[in-house]
Amino acid sequence: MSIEVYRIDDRLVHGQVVVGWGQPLALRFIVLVDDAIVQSDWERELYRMGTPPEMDLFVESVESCALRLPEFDSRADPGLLVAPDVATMARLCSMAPGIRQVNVGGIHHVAGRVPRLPYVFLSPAEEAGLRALAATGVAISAQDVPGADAVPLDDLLARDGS
Amino acid sequence: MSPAQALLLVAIGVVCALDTVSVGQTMISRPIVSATLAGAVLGAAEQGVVAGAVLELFALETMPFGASRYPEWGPAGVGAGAAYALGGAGVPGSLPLAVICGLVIAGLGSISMVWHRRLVGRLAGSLRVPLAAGSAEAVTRLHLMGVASDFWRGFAVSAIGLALALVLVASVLPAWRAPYGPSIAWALISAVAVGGFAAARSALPVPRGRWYLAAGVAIGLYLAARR
Amino acid sequence: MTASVPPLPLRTRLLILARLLTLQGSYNYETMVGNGIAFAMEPALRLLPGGRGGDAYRAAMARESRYFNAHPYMAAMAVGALARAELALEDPGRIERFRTAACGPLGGVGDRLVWAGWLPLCSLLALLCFGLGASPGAVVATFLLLYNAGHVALRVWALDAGWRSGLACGPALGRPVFRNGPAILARAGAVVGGAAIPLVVAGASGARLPGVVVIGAVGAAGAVALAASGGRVPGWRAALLFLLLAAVAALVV
Repeated sequence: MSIEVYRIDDRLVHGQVVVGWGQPLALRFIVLVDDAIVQSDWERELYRMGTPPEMDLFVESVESCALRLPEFDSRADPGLLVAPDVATMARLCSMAPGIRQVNVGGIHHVAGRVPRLPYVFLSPAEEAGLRALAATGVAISAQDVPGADAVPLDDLLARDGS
Repeated sequence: MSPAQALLLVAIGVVCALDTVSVGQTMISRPIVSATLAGAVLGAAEQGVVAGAVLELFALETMPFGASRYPEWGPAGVGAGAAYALGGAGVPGSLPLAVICGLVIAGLGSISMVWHRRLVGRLAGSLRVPLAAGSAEAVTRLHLMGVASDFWRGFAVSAIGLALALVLVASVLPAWRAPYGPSIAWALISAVAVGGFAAARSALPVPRGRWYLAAGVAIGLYLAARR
Repeated sequence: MTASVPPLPLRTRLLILARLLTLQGSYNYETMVGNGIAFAMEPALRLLPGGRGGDAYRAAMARESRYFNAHPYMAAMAVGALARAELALEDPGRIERFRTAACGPLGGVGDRLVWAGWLPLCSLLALLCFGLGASPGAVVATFLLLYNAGHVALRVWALDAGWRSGLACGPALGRPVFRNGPAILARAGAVVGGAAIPLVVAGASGARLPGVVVIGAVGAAGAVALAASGGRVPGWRAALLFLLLAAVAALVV
């Protein structure tokens, strides 16, 4: 598979992605999956400005991404796919059953979410969503940068923010 | 080391700890600076800068991204610089122990930053209602309490780090049996491995980056031969 | 609804810049630098209708103290842009959308330019000075003056760019310094780093060329081992383990 990391991260394209994962994995493209951003010219432009010129950025809706996934996977260079939340990634996985691993890289605090790791806050609905995704055979772990320990889903959901 | 010197070293550690994240980020918290300052306080800036240069190679690997955990190098540089200045240049074991001291303090700083950020999160939680109501007083109070918490965190890490440096120099260094050559080589090999990895990680993704790196190494070896 | 924006007095601008130096003072895992954004922007919000403590002021403070995260220097652009938007009485929904969207790009651009480019280059130049035999004071001064010339210039420019363009500041991130700067800095860092590392070995050990080559070669093998882990093993931790084992050997053998 050419896409090496399938990541849930509400900041989408930022330093941990383009430098933290980008350098050690020598990433050459990023697929950003977000139904709202795909319809917003200024937001698409903003994320394009935040992407290094040596990396291609593809902004896709869930549907268009599912259709283009074989094309992305046939690329010779490594890439990373990022979705803003559990629901978006779960929809993508249901339409693209080839996704076997999901990395939870950053879901930040809003009212109703509880801390699981310093960079992962989850609502009960999101936890149920991750469990349902795992039940389909997708391996889920939390890891913000490559040098950090990967925390498997069961361990993640048992944590209290530490 | 006099009490005044110890106090000054801890004060430098605190300033460097604050500089890491909370105040300034002017990079006086880099080990090349903090270790040199520590050496200077002990009347041995030349030794401080050696410890700082070696520790700086380790620090090249660190990318302080958002909520990720990373080692804290400011108080680490103070501890390493003090340890090397007290241990003495040319003494077998002095540099590797200074580097060990620095790496342990860097790890301690990393853990303490997580505790500190959680504490500030709890303080923010306790001020949730006035913050949601747009109280400037609450914003300012949270900010000042955050800086104060980081001050005391820096104080604790720096004091523990300095104590570690003293223990290593007083208790471990006299028992060091390996000769000077291998001892200093161990410290430098580990620093070159980490610093070299960081330099390559940055250079290799760039077109022709490996050639730029190779050219640099050739220049460095040429200059080293002429020293 | 948008209103005409009052000019930003010099004193207010300087106050914001000073406060930006403590942007991460209340950094925490819930709101990240959100509180710092509100703290830095507060002098500008006093210019809102009703002044300090007025309804508009309090509504803006409440909005701006929510979650935000970006590179701490580039966050100055967000502060400038958001201050202008607040003073223009922009639609709060649009402000919120900008706050959400700006986090990633401002983080990505700043992290690449500063943490992965400018800082390592300045650090390596200082190491080069050390390796070439400069005095401790010259090494430290070279590093601090060079780094902070770029650091302060970036903060000042970012605040100004954000204030000038408001929520339409995105194109400013397309400037050549942000697009091409990181690659240029990486190339410069490669040359300087390649030269500095052998010189640091020579300077710290007093070894002659053969010794430098041996230490460099073994160290390079360690670097390859770290690279083989794909960045998953933090080098400083591996080095600490190695040195602790070496220390035990040095004490008991």
